[in-house]
Amino acid sequence: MKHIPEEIILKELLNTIHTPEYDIMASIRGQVTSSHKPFNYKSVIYSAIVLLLTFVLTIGAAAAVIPSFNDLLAAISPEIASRLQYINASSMYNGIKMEVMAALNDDEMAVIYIKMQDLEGNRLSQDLDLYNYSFSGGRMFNSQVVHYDEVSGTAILRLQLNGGEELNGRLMRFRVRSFLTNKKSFEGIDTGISLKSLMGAEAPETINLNMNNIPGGGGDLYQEYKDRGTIVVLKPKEAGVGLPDLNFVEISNIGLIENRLHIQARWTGGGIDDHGYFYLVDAAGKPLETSSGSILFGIDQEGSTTYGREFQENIIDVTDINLEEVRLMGYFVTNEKYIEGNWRVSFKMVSQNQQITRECSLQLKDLLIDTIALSPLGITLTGKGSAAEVGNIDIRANTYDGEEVYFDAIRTLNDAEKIIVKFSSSLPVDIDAIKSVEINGNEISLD
Amino acid sequence: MQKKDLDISFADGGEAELHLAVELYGYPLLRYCHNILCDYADAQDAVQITFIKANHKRNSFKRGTSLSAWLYQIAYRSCIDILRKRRLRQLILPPKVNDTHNLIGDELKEALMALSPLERGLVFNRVIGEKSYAELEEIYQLSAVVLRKRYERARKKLAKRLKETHPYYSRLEEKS
Repeated sequence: MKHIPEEIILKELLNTIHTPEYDIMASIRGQVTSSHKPFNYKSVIYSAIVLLLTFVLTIGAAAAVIPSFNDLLAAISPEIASRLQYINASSMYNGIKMEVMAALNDDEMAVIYIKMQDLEGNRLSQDLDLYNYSFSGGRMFNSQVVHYDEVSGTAILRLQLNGGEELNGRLMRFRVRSFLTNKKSFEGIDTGISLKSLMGAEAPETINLNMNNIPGGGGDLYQEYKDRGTIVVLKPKEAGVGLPDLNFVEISNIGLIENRLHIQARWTGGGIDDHGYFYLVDAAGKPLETSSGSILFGIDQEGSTTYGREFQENIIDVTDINLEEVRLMGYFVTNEKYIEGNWRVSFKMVSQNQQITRECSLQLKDLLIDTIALSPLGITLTGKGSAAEVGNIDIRANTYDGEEVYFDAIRTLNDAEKIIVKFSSSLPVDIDAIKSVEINGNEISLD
Repeated sequence: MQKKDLDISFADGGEAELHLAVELYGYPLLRYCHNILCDYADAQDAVQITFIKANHKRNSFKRGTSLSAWLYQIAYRSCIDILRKRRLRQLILPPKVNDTHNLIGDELKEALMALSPLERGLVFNRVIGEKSYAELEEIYQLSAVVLRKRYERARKKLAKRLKETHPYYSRLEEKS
């Protein structure tokens, strides 16, 4: 692995940390040779402390009556747990139990914590990914595993819903029909394809694709192609080019169209959610920043495009890039297990609506932020101007304890009047602990 | 026995496999935990807990996958648990006298503690452990894109802080 100069310096300094060796085996031998679970006096003391604080911090009642409370408490702090609405509605199918544990709701969105547990086997994993699921009463935004316990085979997931205030008091019906587990990802796959040979080559064979008859796509070029209505994609070749050690994807064609590199992938593994993308790296292996997009489609028996997901046209803008000096790399993901079932629960949502709002005037190039709102679900910025600047916003919250809270999801709503950007965190934020919000280096106090 | 053999035999193995796992990964994990916790005694606890848990849950380790990544995953969670308990402990007990041997150095420790535990883990695993993003994905269960972003940010933050405070940083900078 090559290091940049900054990393070399850090390596030298981190190597100055003196970590004396000791006999690890001797320290654990007494506890691992016993067939019983080790008795750890520290754990007992800590558990007692946690239990004591649980009650002191006003959430004792919840802990006492809700069986899954401690599972949730393992994933979030006691301070945050006290703000949740506890639900405890469950459904069982084929030995897998799904339970809606708790919810939290603000003006913009709602978060729901669900627990899934395999009571008969070992079918769940840390990378559990809900595939076919629905909420009546709210539109789902995303789901994420926030806690996983291998011993009990239990996963706690956070689900985000659009809606917020309008969900308050409504009966919600949540249903899961299938999910994926055992994700495997393959990073930095060198396709080994010589891009140099594409320069000056004959124009590749193409076929038309109706952008109104596709399941979707992504990337910053996607909307441009969507707006065109009908586009051309590469004509798939019968014999694709395989990728090293990957048996679920191959390159079915590659070529230049309108000075953009088209790499067409064919998903051959039959996996329900196999996916990935291609990117370019320079001679030093550093990824290049390029505009790119991807479009999913299928091919019918006549060889024409149709609705489907078998093919993925990946498009990279290579204007100003010398193809002789770059390599084509890929990143791919497959899932080993696809589990179907029917888990259904109903519950009523209650809004907490706790929020700190501050007015400000923060100019970020063409975007003027005028309001910052902090709720347990994240930070909402409201402003006017260009939404293009949203992707460049680097935001974090600073706590009174000197800790930094980062946000891992972003959602933008914009109309002619205003732009709303929501940054949400994987776990609820204890808003009383937040001292300030920092946006692109500008600190805004919440005091 | 090689690391790859252990990836296969660990799940059904006995004390010999555990012994080998400790031999192969024990010290690197101790260094890793020391970097995250910035406290040698806590790091010893974390490594001890890691191997006790690994032994206890060995049936859930998927044969043929990376034992190293699995152990780092357990170690990271053990560190997070220790940090959480450290905060609780500080609420009701007198402050613990940390790391009396000063094994890290004040400037470096201060700079490391300005990072989040995930950032400290990422910096260590990239810079010292030289782990790929694919391995890091297995350890932290986050996407490579997110990890790359977090690592870049953490590396820059650590370098900036050390540049301001560490007496040797500028010397090393000149050297490189």
